[in-house]
Amino acid sequence: MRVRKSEVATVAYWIAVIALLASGAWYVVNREMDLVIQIGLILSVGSIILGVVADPQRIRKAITGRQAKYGSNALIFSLAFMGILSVLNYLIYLNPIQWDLTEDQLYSLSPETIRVLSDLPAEVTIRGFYTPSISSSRENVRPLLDQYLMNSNDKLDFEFIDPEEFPFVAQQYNVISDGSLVVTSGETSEVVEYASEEKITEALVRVLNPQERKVYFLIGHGERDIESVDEDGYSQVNRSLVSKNYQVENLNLLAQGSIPEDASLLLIAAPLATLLDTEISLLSEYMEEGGALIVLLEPMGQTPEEHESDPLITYLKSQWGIEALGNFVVDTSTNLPFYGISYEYASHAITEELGNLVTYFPTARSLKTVELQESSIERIELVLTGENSWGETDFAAVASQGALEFNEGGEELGPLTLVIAAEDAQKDARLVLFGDADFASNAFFFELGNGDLLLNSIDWAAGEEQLISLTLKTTTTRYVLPPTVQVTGVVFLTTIVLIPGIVIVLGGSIWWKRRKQG
Amino acid sequence: MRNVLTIARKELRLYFVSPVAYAIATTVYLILGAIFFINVYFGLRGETIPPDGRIVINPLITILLFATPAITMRLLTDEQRMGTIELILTAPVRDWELVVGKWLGSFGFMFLLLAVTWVYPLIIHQMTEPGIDQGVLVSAYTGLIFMTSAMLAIGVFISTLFRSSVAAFFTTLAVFLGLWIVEGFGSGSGVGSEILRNLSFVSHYYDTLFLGMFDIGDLFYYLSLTALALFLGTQVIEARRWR
Repeated sequence: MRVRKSEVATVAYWIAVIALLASGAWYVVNREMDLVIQIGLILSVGSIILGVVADPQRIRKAITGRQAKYGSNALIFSLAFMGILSVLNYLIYLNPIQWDLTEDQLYSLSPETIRVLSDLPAEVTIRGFYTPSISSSRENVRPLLDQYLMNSNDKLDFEFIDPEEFPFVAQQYNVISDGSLVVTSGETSEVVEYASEEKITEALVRVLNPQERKVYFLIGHGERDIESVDEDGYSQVNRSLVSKNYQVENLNLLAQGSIPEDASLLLIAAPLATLLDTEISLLSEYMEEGGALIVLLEPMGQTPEEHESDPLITYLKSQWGIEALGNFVVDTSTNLPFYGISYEYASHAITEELGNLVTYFPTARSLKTVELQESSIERIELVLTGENSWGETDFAAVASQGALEFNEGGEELGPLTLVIAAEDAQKDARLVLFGDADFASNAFFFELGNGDLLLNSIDWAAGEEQLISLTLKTTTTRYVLPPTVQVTGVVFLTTIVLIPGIVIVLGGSIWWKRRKQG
Repeated sequence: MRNVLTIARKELRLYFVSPVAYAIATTVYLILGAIFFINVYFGLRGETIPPDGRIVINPLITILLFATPAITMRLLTDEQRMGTIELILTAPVRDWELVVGKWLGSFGFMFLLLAVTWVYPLIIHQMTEPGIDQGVLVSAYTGLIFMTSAMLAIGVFISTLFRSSVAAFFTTLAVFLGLWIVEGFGSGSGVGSEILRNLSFVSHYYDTLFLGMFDIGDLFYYLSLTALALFLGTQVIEARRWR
């Protein structure tokens, strides 16, 4: 039997197509250029060659024919047109041009940010680390960053990086939580965890004028360890501070004998033993000269006498008018009665960004402000628990997990204060006292607003909050006057009767006219 | 250019005598009117009405998704089915003039249709103290008009491919829906995702123009789509000459 060459060619071309499609499908499934694909590709190339050799006439016709000529012309033309449009669109995408048409300039940067951006001394890069699962918040940030880009005279650029795809890049910039921005200029970089204009501009200012900011963690009394990765360790606090360009060091007051000059802040995290009087006097001196202190106190189960004689507690009470009560916060509104849960935040620089994020404090003690004689100290109770909480003083019952109930006399009833911020305007000293230390330990640091509460407190006490204060945007309050019955009637007539009615009448009359014309 | 206007005028006149156009207009205004009235009616019963001129834009866009293919479906399918395209192709009209003219005619109709919907923001404006944010409204409507322009151009292009208007209708609808949901595939951070995201009909509108951010790039995207679709439509018509 004789086989015609043109038929061979047809079959060969079909084989080529099938082999190509099959390799494509194989690739989609396996995502690997493996042997099967190589064989498929060789097969399809081989078949095409076979087809050309078997029937060269057809190819010649297909290439030189009239249809081929016009067809390829049209194809090239269309591709070129598409290419030009893509390039133009890409160029505009790189150099966005926008006008904020909202009456209140909702999407425009404040004059302060524009001033910072207008004379950037060096190139700045902002990297946004967002996993695909929060791509919507990434897209929400984009317009803001576009605004930065547009106002920066090409000195600022931004990009988005998927930290799951490039974990090493994220690590390099100390990115811990998803949805962080990193502002980099030269060697310095800083992580911004809230993508707000204020935070980005602050980071920008700091990155451009790097200064040393040192946080000392007191050691020597069994405080939380900033190196420890255990559940109750503070390594996450440490990492977060480093990512915000703080230097973190331990401080043994007894060995060193003084609080270093370069300390931006001293942090005391849950000392198990009482501090010595000499240490307290150093601390007091430091605060007299405008220091910044953060104290996190766990419930100690001390007897009233021990409590009275604890020098740290005495110092805080006499100098700052804040008493750490010798109790244990119990909140029966959830099934975790030993967790103090925030029900209310005071309005303060520390808490304003927490929004509706709850913070919770496993095993906490409550705080109380006491009257101070003529003092320039302003104290704000930052975090309050709910009404179902009280300060249990029966530590034996707590330890045995026995029946807990509120006892009149001696026990404080909720809302209890868990965090107090105090500022001495005269001495420029700031203090934040927490009735808990566990909430910021590794086990709870990332829970809801916990880590942010501590970091914001550190920023505030170290005087890093509101490095620049942005002009507040005024928003026009608009409200629709409740319609009267008459207005509603008019609206009904216009929108439901009149407008569609006119269209129907017009259409009907034309239909009628045409029908008559036949 | 004069040919373009002549064709556009003829198409626009055709809309005014065609029952389909009236049916579409009636549907659009009835649905929007009902939605708007319900808002006002709830206001009468004590609920707050949002002081926002864009009150009808969301439902309007959803309706346009279906109305636009209906408006463009017969533009070139009719000519091809009835054979009148041969007459036009032999007349001293360039192919692009035919395609652009058809698009311009449908755009004129759509523009009138959209212009009437300004009534609703106007009413809200009258009821609002101290008036609604006009800038947002201008931005949202400009974007809407550009978006409609791109949708119509795509509809015109697809109508060049078919003889049957039903086929054109559904293909156009499918393309729109594709452009609508393509963003969902672009949630990653790679280049491919970025491209997909930038193809999306939705994000170019809702992320900027709808909010009052007048973004030239987004307007240019819709312009590009319009130009591309009209260009491709012209190529298809031209192909009739040598196929």
